[in-house]
Amino acid sequence: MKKSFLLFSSLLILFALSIFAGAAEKKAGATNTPTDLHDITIFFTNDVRGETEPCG
Amino acid sequence: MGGLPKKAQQLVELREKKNGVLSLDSGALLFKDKKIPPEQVPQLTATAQGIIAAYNLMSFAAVGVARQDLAAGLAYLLSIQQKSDFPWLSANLVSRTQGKLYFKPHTLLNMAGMNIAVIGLTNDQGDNTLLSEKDNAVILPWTNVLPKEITRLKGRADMLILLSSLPASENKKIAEKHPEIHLILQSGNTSGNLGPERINNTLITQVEQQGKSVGILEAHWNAQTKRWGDSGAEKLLLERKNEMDRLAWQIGRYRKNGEPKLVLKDQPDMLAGYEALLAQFKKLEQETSRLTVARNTRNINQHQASSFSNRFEAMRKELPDNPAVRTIVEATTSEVNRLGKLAAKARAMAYTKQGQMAFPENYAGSTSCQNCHAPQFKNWLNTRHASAYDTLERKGQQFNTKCLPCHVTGVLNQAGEIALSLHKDLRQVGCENCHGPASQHAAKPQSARPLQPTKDTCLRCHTTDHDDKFIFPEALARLGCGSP
Repeated sequence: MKKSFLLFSSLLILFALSIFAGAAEKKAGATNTPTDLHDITIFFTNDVRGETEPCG
Repeated sequence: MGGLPKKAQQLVELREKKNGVLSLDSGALLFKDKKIPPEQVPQLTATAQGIIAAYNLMSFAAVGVARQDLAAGLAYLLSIQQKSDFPWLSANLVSRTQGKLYFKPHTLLNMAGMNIAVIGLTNDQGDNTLLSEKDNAVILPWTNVLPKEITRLKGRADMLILLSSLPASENKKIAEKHPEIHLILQSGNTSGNLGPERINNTLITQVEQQGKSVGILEAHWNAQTKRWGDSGAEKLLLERKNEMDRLAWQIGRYRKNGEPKLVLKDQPDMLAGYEALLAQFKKLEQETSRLTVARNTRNINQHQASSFSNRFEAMRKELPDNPAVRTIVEATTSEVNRLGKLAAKARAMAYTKQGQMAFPENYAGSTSCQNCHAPQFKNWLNTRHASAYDTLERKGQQFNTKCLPCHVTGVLNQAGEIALSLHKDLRQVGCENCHGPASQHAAKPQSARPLQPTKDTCLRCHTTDHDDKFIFPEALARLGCGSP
């Protein structure tokens, strides 16, 4: 009786742990997605060709 | 136009609003032409140094090497590189004998939480005399270097940008062959801004020449998929739906009086028109249905795609200047003018020694026209041509050999330096700039008739670069010289 109680408790703990670990994994997955998205602004120029100002 | 102080202020304001602003220049930064005359070297290199100081202050992340940047020689650009806080990039400008790189082929930056690689390519097509024997340098075709460079960067970059001064047709070939490149910023002659064109997974874009505008591309980038979303397909679907609406309205008009096959049985042309509309509608219906299915599939995966928006900001007069860059530009123009003044003094002394007059051959000066063409001369005095040199003087640029030829008379086809020692009567844009040299006409009015200006005469100075609002008939009417 004591043995089966211990076995049942162990199984219960394992089950609870697996649920907890699964949830944690899911959470980690959810935070992964935003880190793959990046907002960047590219300011670009070309052909300034030695001009600083108009002559006049 | 350059407009560096305005450009700098735009960048400052953008950085205040946004995190992760990357500033890049794809080349042709320092010089306009691919070779510069020796007598103009001091003034043009002084300007180049001013531009570098401004770009340092603006924290540019990288600049591509274009052919024009080599105009003062490879050695000069290498020396300028030492003064630049940003890397000059060229993966294909190498030593002829050892194949060693003169510039960094790429730079790796960490920005917005990701790694961005920027590669530089220099245009290998064109004048072979650009690099001298002494330079011991050669510009290789992109096919020789780019695949290796991409392999080298594999797994190290979340986004790959190419700064290219190659022709647009070559950049398209690169995009077709290398979807690993996500953005090509190209440099080279273009009369307007070129908004992003997508080829495979590469966007190609370019700002119009002479720094008249800047480009601002905002990207929402998925570093895992590394793919641009398909905004073009949405537009196409909308266009097809609008076209279907238009056709449905036309078909409705045919059906207003009953079934067209019955109503129009005696009008075969009309009936044929109706049937053609029906066939067109059916074709569009099938295409729209296919596009809609594709759109719905795309929506499921939408979170994976990257998106962008792009705009060009023209450096309009009314935009504010950045005070620090304004100071650099003022110091630069003042230095350029000082160098020109020194050259002018030297030339004036040479003229005095040789007893020559500072008149280009066959030119007489505007005051010699005055005696016979008094009304025209009076009109001319009220035009902007008559104060063209004064404008430079006011701006402290009256010794700038780049500006002078279009602000004085008789030196348009000659080296800018001769303009430094012109006789006072040839300062301003005088009669002979439009009508040609007139010393013979002044001596014998009937035997040598001056020319009548054509549109091409004006376009020597009123180029689209300098005056994009120039309309020949209006300008001629405004001058109002009238008949002689």
